[in-house]
Amino acid sequence: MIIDRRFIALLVLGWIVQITIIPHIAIGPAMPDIILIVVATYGFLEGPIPGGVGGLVGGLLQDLTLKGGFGINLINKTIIGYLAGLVERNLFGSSRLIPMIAMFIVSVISQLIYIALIYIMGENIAVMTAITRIVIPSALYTSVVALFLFAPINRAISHERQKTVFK
Amino acid sequence: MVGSRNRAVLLVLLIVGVIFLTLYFGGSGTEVVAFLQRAVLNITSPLYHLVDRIISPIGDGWTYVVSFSNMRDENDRLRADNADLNKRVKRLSIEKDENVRLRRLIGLKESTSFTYIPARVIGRSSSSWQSILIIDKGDKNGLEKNMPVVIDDGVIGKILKVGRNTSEVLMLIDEKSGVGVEIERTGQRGIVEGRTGGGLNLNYIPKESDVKKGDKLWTSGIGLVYPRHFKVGEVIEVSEDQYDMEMKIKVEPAVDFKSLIELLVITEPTEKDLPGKTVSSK
Repeated sequence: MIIDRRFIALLVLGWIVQITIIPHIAIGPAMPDIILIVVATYGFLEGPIPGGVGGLVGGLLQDLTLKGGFGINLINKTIIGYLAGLVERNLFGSSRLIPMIAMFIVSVISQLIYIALIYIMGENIAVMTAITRIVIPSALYTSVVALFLFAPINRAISHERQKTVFK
Repeated sequence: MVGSRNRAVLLVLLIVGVIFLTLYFGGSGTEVVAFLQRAVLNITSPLYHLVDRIISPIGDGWTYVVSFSNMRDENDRLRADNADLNKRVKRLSIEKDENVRLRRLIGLKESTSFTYIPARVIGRSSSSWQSILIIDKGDKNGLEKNMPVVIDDGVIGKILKVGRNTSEVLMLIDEKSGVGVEIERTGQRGIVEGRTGGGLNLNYIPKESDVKKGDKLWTSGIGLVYPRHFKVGEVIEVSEDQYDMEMKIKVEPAVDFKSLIELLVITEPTEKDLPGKTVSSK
């Protein structure tokens, strides 16, 4: 199977945390994206195809709770899961900083994809304001939260890689 | 070989996403999506209530600690506000009598109140890109889509989605929100819309119109969603671009959208409060 049950369970747990607790810890419009962290970490660990499929499931969950075009988050997270899967896994063994930077970049890409998709759907958006007020702060927030989640997600998904991938 | 297989899988996944989007925007999938989203709202409703019960006392306690040092200042301010309000009540009482006489003269029906349901905020949008509140009332309590939501300070937004015990409120500061407004000083009408990253803009005001910083904006009632005479905000910045036909006007919302706890859903605006035809609702 491309994705396993432990990952689905983790994704559902992440989704519940995202919709119930995360809005309470938002800083202005910036908030961490737990689904993104789970999907990207899964992509980092398992490769592009499981990452893409995991992203599809995670995006579908988000589309069920958010307004707007149904499928936007699905496409977004699919691309993110796939791209994360292309990153060389060995990079993450050496320091905590590298996965954090990778998550920051992935988060920025994810939000730029979102802006592009809603622009294609005909919405007007002040791009520079969006980048300075939402994209960068949210990406920073997401990467900081991810720092504390890499190891538990790694342990939950794959026991044998527990000590070799994320410090 | 592996690379081309990967790309093929990605392509298939993206096609699935595009099909979803096409069905949604084509209209044929809208009802199914609405049904699924309502079902998810109903399923997650107990979670919102549970988290609210756990987090509210923590938040209230924290707010108490933070605000303790400001209490003396606040007390002084409240005394001043109280004196000011007493004066205003007297003045309004005189104006109301005058208003009643004028209404009689022009033959309008007098209608003084709305029917509303109080609700509590139990959650917020889980995305940085959307300004949505989750409230603890749903269709069981008589709520319906598009009902306006207000507090004493002014307009909050309108009901976006209704579940059995919970509903979603689209706040005015969301980019997809819009409300018809009237400038108090001049009576000129425009539309206030949400701005990226929070805040409001007053749009559709032609260049060289008489708009100044400090102008107060009230709902005009046009649009058949929001009743008239609810405060929307105050103009904080006015600018013109030589290539634009309209003025660029930033508005400070009347409501502090970050600290909403209790609010009112208007279930039946009176006829006199909805005078126009649809313009503002996007």
